Amino acid sequence: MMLRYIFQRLMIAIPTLLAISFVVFFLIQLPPGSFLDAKIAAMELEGGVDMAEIETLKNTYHFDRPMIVQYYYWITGFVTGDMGKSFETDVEVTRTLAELVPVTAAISLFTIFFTWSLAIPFGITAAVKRNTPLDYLLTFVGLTAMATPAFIIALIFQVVMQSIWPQFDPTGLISREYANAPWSLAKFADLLKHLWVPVFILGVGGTAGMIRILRANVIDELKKQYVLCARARGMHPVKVILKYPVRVAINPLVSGIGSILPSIISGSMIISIVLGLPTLGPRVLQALMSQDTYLAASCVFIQCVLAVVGILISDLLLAVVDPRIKFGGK
Amino acid sequence: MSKDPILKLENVHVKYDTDDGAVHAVRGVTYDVYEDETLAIVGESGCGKSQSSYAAMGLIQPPGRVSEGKIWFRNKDGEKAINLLDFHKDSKEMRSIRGGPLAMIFQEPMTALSPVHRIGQHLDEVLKLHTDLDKKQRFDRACELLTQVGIPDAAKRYKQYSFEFSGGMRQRIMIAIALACNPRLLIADEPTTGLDVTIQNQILELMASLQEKHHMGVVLITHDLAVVAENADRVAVMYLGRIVETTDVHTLFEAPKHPYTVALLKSVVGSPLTGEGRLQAIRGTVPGPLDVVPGCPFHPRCDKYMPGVCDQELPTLEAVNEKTCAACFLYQNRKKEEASS
Ligand SMILES: Nc1ncnc2c1ncn2[C@@H]1O[C@H](COP(=O)(O)OP(=O)(O)OP(=O)(O)O)[C@@H](O)[C@H]1O
Ligand code: SF4
Ligand SMILES: [Mg+2]
Repeated sequence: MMLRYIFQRLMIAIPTLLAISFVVFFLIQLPPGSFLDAKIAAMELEGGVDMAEIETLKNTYHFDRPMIVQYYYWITGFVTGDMGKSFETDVEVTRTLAELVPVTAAISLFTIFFTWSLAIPFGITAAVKRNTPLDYLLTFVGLTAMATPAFIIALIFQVVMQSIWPQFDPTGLISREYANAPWSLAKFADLLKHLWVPVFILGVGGTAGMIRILRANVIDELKKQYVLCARARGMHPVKVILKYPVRVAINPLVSGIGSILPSIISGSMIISIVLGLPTLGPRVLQALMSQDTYLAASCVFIQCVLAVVGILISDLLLAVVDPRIKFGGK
Repeated sequence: MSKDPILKLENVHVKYDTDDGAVHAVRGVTYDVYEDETLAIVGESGCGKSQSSYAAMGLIQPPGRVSEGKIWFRNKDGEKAINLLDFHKDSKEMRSIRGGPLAMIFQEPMTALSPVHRIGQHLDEVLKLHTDLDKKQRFDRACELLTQVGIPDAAKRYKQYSFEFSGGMRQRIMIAIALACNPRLLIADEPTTGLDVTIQNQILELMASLQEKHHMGVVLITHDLAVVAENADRVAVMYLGRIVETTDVHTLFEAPKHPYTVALLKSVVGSPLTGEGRLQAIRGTVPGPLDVVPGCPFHPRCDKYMPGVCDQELPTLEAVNEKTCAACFLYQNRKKEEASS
């Protein structure tokens, strides 16, 4: 049943993704001019136009052919794992990804972990102790955190850290001595040392929001008759809360995991810029602005694939955690 | 019938400390229930029927509390009764009684089961809490219980979820859960409200047959006087958080004493003895939970109201004859004479 459902969904996903890939490629090419035009203009400014280099570029990337042909070259390359090179830096797209994705994903995953491990206990506490001073405190802190944009939190954080711990450098993720070193255990440890700053800054808003959602969900469930019935069976009230209302209230969070999949590799653009984090987001933005087609299209398309896969995962998880939902709506 | 009551409530009060002041939900309830006996508790909505039984179960949640009274429970015949209020409501002792020897089923069977747990898991849980049975034994016992309450194909049904059952079936499951550990006393709080009449009768018959088999005491809370006529041995009539009359079921219909009981019986369309007995409104309105009525709480609505007596003091529940107790000055001669003099 489940396998057949997954198979069906994947069958639908393939044409969807093909259509998306075309739209992505088309949209990136849409602004007037192309990378090549810009390049020629830049060369003219510098003095001479190197026709030989232009020719090579033209031939490798089929700039003189219609867009649909360029698309064909890109997508066939993409599915075989060859995403081409960045026009700008002449670096393989796959290499850029290999460099930036692990760091981006590490930040995102730790942020999710941070968010959940704070939001779940606090959300439950706020619900159980609703309308007590503790709840009001959590609500106040939560609403303040939610209403403050992350980049403001980042700036405040920097200012505060400056005054209490001047030696600490909150920007960047990797110490200078490891900057160009290959990945090693020591480099990873160094990464972890810096990681908590962006994780904290990125996580605060989400944590506060999730506390609100969880609090509301748990309160809704606490009022339900089955909670009283479970107490009437002689179960300890704390166990009752964890076993029944929390279990139900947490379903939307669990099934929501799928939908955050694409953001795991993109990371937060503004925070990355403010804190100077080497994540994929700013790199893609730059590629989009300079019409660095292969790099931009590949990154955007990968995110689309993750989004489609994420929705599938969400649907499957929802059916797993909530027996009322059946595969295929039957 | 044994001589010692299984459960005896003595002047039980329940108070809620709300922002608007203290809501006195139960204002001194006294009743007792014996083995093999069904005590029906009737009264208008909001008079504290549920709250007084929650008090017995230790299920009153903050800001509510049992502010006064004694709740005597006798786990075994001949044993000394213990006052449940001597224990914290979530203490180990209370938890071992609640759901075990003292069980309760509720109104609204539709939402009484967790939507994300198999129905068998609920049964397994209560057996795990109150018995030493191992996993396999618990499964067998659960299937046996399901069969007993009239759910065929128990092993298969065990694995299903509540949404796969109708309201009547769910109430049967709730009964199975309540009966899992052979309770001495079963409190049934409007167990058939919201179910259609045929199903209602099936559920009540099922309860009666199980009561006969296990010699349980049953407290049956209901709005429905037809249900009372069919199922109860004795009846306690509640008004505004107090018991105003207790009597046996025949006397209730033949010779009601308290004016509220009389009004209650009159308000029934058709005869309660032939069924179709639903309550209609009684003259006047029920005072709000925060209003304080001086004297007899029923006096603003009472047909027999005696000025100068009924609005001065609170009548206590006293024996009228060997069958009936009533809280009304009409039957308390000293007061009545005062009124006529
Ligand atoms: N959480 C609460 N906070 C404040 N007051 C409450 C609360 N729960 C119950 N009460 C009060 O207790 C009173 C009795 O309620 P209860 O549920 O026992 O009535 P009932 O006789 O069972 O009515 P029904 O027939 O509608 O079930 C209500 O009038 C209400 O004022
Ligand atoms: S005491 Fe007086 S007011 Fe109250 S019920 Fe009896 S007659 Fe009516
Ligand atoms: Mg009730």
